[in-house]
Order: sequence, then C-alpha cells, then structure tokens
Amino acid sequence: MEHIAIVGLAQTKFERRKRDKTYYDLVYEVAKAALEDSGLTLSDVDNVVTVSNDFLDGRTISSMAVGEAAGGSDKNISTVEGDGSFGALYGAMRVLSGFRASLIVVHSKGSEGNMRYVTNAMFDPIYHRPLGIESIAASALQANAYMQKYGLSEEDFALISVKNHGNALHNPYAHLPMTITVDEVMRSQKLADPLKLLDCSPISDGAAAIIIADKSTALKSAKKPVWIKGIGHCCEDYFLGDRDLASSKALYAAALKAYEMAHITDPLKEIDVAEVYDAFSYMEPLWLEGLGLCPSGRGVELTRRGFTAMDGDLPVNPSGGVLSAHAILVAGLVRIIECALQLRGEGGDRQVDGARRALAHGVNGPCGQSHCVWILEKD
Amino acid sequence: MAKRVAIVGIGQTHHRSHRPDVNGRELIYEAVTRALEDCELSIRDIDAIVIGNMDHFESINCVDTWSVEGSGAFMKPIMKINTGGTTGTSVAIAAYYHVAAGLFERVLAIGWEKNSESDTTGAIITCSDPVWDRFSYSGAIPSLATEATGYLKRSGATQEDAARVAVRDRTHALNNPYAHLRKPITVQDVMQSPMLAYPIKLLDVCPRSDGACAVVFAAEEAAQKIARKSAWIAAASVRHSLTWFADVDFDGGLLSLQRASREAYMKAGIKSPADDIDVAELYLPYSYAGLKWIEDLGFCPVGKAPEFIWSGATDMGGKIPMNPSGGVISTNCIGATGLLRVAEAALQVMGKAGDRQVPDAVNAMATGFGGCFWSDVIILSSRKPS
Amino acid sequence: MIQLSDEGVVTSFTIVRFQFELHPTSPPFAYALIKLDGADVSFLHIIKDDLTSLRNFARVKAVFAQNRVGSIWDIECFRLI
Repeated sequence: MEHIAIVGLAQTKFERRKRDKTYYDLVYEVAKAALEDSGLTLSDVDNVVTVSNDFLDGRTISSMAVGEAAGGSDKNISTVEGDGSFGALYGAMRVLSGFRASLIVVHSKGSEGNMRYVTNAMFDPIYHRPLGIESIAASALQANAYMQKYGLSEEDFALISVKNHGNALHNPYAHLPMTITVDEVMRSQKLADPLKLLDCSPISDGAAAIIIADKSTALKSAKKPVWIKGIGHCCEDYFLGDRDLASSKALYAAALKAYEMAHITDPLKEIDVAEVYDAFSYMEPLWLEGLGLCPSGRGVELTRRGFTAMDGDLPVNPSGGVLSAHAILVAGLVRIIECALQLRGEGGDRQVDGARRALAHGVNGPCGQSHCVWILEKD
Repeated sequence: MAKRVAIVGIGQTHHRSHRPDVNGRELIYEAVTRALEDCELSIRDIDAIVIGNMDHFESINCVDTWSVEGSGAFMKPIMKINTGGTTGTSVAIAAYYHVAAGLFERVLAIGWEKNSESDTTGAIITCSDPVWDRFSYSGAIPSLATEATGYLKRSGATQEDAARVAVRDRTHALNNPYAHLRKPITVQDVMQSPMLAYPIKLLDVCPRSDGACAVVFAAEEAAQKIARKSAWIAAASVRHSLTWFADVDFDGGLLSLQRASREAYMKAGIKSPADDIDVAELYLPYSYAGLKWIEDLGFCPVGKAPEFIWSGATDMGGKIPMNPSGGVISTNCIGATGLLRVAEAALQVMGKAGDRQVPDAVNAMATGFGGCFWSDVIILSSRKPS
Repeated sequence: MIQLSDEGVVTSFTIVRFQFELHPTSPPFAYALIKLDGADVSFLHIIKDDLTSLRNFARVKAVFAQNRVGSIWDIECFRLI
C-alpha cells in the first residue's frame, strides 16, 4: 500500500446533550479543528467524506445537513452510512487513488431521538423487529452465549468496566470518567441479563474528524504524520440465530487483512496500544479474541492479569473506550484518533509510553456483525 | 496513483411499480445473480461490496448488515453509501475507488429500492432542514418546479419543449425490456396530464419503481480476463455542495452539474461533449431537466436546448442519443436509479445494449442527481485510460 | 421446505428488565434464541413464564396464537416444558 497518513484530527467532548449545537455546528467545529491541527487549509483538501445515519438524525439524506459544514463546497464529497472507521476507509481509498487529502467527519446526537427505536430498526422487519428487540437485548443474548461457551462470569466483564471508566479519568473528552468497583458494577441496575447499567456504554452527543493525506501533503503538515499501514473490513451473517455469537469470524478476517498489509505476524507483541469498540463490557475481551490477541475464551484473562491495563504489556482503551463515550458512528473514528494521539505522543495523562504501533477498531450492525480494523504506525 | 478500473458485468431486475413476490433481500439477490452471470463470475470471486438505498424509504437501518444474504456479503468487506438521489452514482464511484485504490480486484456495486414498501413523500420531506426549509418544500417536486419556472422564464422555452423530452425517454423505454413504464406517450398526453406543481405535470415526472441493479468493477488485469470488452472508467466527479434549498440559484444553471462535468471532461479528455460523447444516460427526474441540464453539460449552447431536442439530436439515431434505456422518467427505483445510468452507459460501451444499442459507442456519460441539487458525473470508454 | 418441530432447545436467552414501548409484554420477560428440533440454526422469540427456571439448553415449546395472519406473532411465545 502506498504511503498515506493521518495528518489532522479533532474530537468534541462527548456528553449527554449538546443543547447548543446542531449537527451542522458540530461538524463545522471538528472540520475546522482538524484543519487547524494539520496546519493545512481547506484548499489542500480535495475530497470530503461525511458519515451520518438517517435514522439517528431523523433526516432522509442526513448528509445534506452537514456537507457544507464539512467543507464540501465545490469539492468531491461522498457519504458513508456506518461507523466512522468505515468512512475513514473510504477517505483513505480516495487518497490511495490520487487525491491529495481527504477530510472525514462524523457526527451524532443520541440525545435527539429514541435510540431504542433507532436500534430496533436495524433488526429484520419481518422476523425480528415486531418482537421489539433492540441493541441492548440483542447484545445481552451475545453476552449470554459468550459466557455459556467459555464459562465466564459477570464479574469477569465488570473488570473491563472498572478499567475503562478508570482510564477515562485521564481523557478530557470522555463522557463518563468514573472510579468504580466490581461491586458497584454488579449492583448497578439490571437492564437485560447479564447486562447491567455499568456494563453498557452511555449514549453521547459528539463529532470527530480526521484528515488523511498522501505522502507529499503529509510531509508539509504541521504535525508528525501517523502512517496508515493496514486496513481490513469484513461482515458476517445477519440473523442472530445463524451466528456463533460467542466468536467473531468477521473480525478475525478483517484483522488478518490489516495485519497482512502491515506485515504484522505476532500482533500481541507487535502492537503497543489498542482502541477497540467496547460498546458493552463483554465486547472488549470478545474482540480481543477476534483480533487474534489471545485464544478463544481467554480474553477476560488479559484483563484479570493486568495485561491490558495502562501499565500492562498491551494497554487496551487508554481513552476509556466506548464504555466511557459513545456517540454512535463517531466512536469508531475516535478509536482511530485516540491511537493517532498515542503515536504522536499527544496522549497527555493517558499516554502509553513509547507507543510505536497501534490498532484501532470500529463496528457496524447488531452484535458486531461487521468490523473495520486499522493498523497505524508512528513516523 | 489510481489503478485502471473497468466495468465488466451488470445485472438489473425488471423494474415494476410493485414486486410483492420478493422481499428487499430477494430483490437485491436477483440483480446480483444477474450481474455475476453476465460476467461469468461467482460470488466467491467478489472481493468487496458497496451498497446503497434510501434508508427511510424501506425503513431499514444498517442495510449493509441486513442485506448480506441478498448481496452475498457474507464474510466479505461491505460498506454503505447514502447520498439521496445520487446514491446510485455515488455507490458506483465508491466501488470504482475501492479498485482504483489498489485494495480490491473485483468489487460489486449494488443499488436498490423497494418504493412500494415506502411512504416516499413522507420520508423525502425530512431531507429538508426542519427549521428553515421543511415548511416550504414538501417532497421532491416543489424544488424542481421552482427550477422549471425559473428556466421557462429565462429561456422562453415552453411546456411542450419539456414534454418532448418526456416523449423521447418514454419512447426509448420501448426498447428496454427492464424499464418500468413501457407505453409510448405523445406531447399531447403530457400536456393533458394532471398538473402537480406548475409547470410539472404527471407525465413530466418519474414514476416510483421497485428495482435493483448490480455492477461489477474490476482492476485492469482482472478485467482483461473477465470481459471481452469492458467499460473503462475515464472520469468520476461529484459535487454535493449545498445544504440549504434557498442557496440554489434558480435563476442560473445547475451549478453542481456544470462543475462536476467540467472536472470529468478534463479528466477524460473531452473537449466537445456533443462530439466526443457517443451516448448519455442522464439522471433526469423530470422533463425540464432534459432541457436545462443538457445546456449545463455543454451539449448545446445555453438557451438552445429546445431546438436541440426538437431536431432529434438526442433521439436514437441522432448526434448524441440520450437515455436509450428510457431514463429515470421510465424507471425510478431511487437507490438503483443512478447506478442504472452507469450500468446502461456501460452496456452501450460494451456493445451489449441489445435493442437499445447506440452503434459504435466508444464514450458514454452517466450522471446522478439528488439531494440539494447535487450532481455526479461519470465517463466510461471502451478505450483504456492512458 | 422442511417441516420443523414446534419444540426445541434454548441456545441463548436474556431476561429483559427495562421498559420500552415496543416490547411485546411488560418486563420481566425473555428473548431467546431457540433451536427447533430439525433445524440447523436458532430462531428468535420470547418466553414469558417460568423465568426463574430458564436456562440455556432448556426445552421449550411454541404456543400458537388464536388468530394467525402470517406474522411472527402467529407464535404467541415459547414456554418451558
């Protein structure tokens, strides 16, 4: 793959309700901030990708609301509807195809609408939707299957909530930085067994943007480029009953592709920091297994042993992860941004020392049906 | 640098107002299997998929993950593109970039819409900003009517001139077994059809169709192995610039189309569109567009479109046949409509357009339209780009 | 077409405890993935009763609705047997 890099980035603070900002305002804010961060100007950008979802925004052609704010005037601009990591992939493809720089910007305001209706709408209208299923109950089915297959406990998962909310204390953008205990997770409100309130991510408002550039543009940007070494994406079957919910073969395929492109043969050793899409506590260990970082069923051990802690061998979600801030669609791009910050040495209090290579991960569809894996490297 | 990419196969459903015999997934499956048959590939040969439709129409969220059984995306990379009416062309362009980036060899683009399962107007109203635009514009027709009114005033064109465009497209559809509307109409029929919003009458405007289209894009080496004659992508340009309907200059031309086409012409080495392009599949959602926008595309001078149309220049056998497929006025399954323009243009270049073939078509144009007066332009050629 | 049994085994379940207007019944109730005898894959539906006895691998049986219209609700729920 030709040399392309992340040269600019920005994210808003994630919070319950951004009462004073419209989608347009949020997109403009981060697009502008990403440009400032990169030292480039809008005329350096020849391609824009916006990422939004019609259901979330309550707008058919949701991209229409934000194209102008994203700097899309008189430029090539398109819209990916899905997680920001997929939108960023399209932006990367454009640069690989000869564009100088792609600006990718994602937004969502979970506060404006009923998230349960929005996620219910992901489910098949004939067989599933009339049952009233939505993302929490579906994920609970996955957690149940995962626990059943490997003999895992709710306490195992609670450890991830404790770790990630604790990590978020060092992340000024996080929605829910919290010092909590396993006991507090176990006593939190039951939603759908085995998921309790503190096993679940919040719903946040926010936006994020990155700029991906070709080599020559990257070399004139203000910050050290963060090189994109590998990207893979893959989707598995749709009906929950068709899937082995306790494993993620699509994630494995996506990860293998990314590792191959990045010439990684031993991910556990070669990756210094990872940001994975932990929309629920059980997802972190499940995705670590899917990423091939440990054998199946052993993901929770990585947490128990402290392997994935801030001072561990492979810190996972130093930002606090999706459990600490979840603006839907945005969260996948934020994983990429947080990794880029780590590799630039701009991680502040959440910096993983000496991080040279990072893994970022985003998810689409119910119970992580479709995945996108990124490998980034320091200059 | 961009790798060379060609279209090697296409498939589409027989478009109808209502397909009660299939659900959305099955509709997609039909188009996909036809596309694979067309280029003699199996789904196993496909490396990645790009899919698009208008979510709120079928009311299915995350269509990329929902449609796996129909699209063949099981254990494959897939992403969803959604840009309103331009979705179909944006999907095609995204599939092109998947290959041009050097990441994939054979990519399947899918566009689909099951309009019979939607409250199209109810959904499309929500595309307008809820504070500034929504209470002025209800649905797609009013903004187009505003454009048409402005054009008539400026150009001195008549409603009959626009009707002639509709007659052309509907006549062309008779050669296309896949088209939705296949009954011929006359200028008089159009003039007598009910007025929807002045000056747009029922027969000036596209139908709502159920349909799907699938197109296979391949990298140079793969393309050469798959198709005897491929349709090379010479240029692809997108301009989705506006957010507010009030920013549209209804006194001027369609700015997005002017800009996108200029960029595409430059990339493809087109100096004189009417001479250098052999056939055009234009996204004309209504007849007046067939006057105004062909001026914007530079096929004829500004103000000369009616003359150009009446001369027969855009009919089959004319200098620059437009919409041999029957165009959008004959078939409109929105998520697929833009992709159908690309597919039909590709068929022309590949020499596989059957009864609607323009003889010796070397360069073909496909356009997309939608959103807030946005445009996509794609130029295909039987000649490999240098 | 293959005829399946109206009985099967729970392969995964969750007892739902929160309120949501689209829920078919008041919580607590369960969503369950059920592998009907003769099927290769599981099928999603609900279980309303005997929730304290609900376990993975429990056997369940379909309870059909009085009026059937060709919807997923032609099955009213599944019950433990």
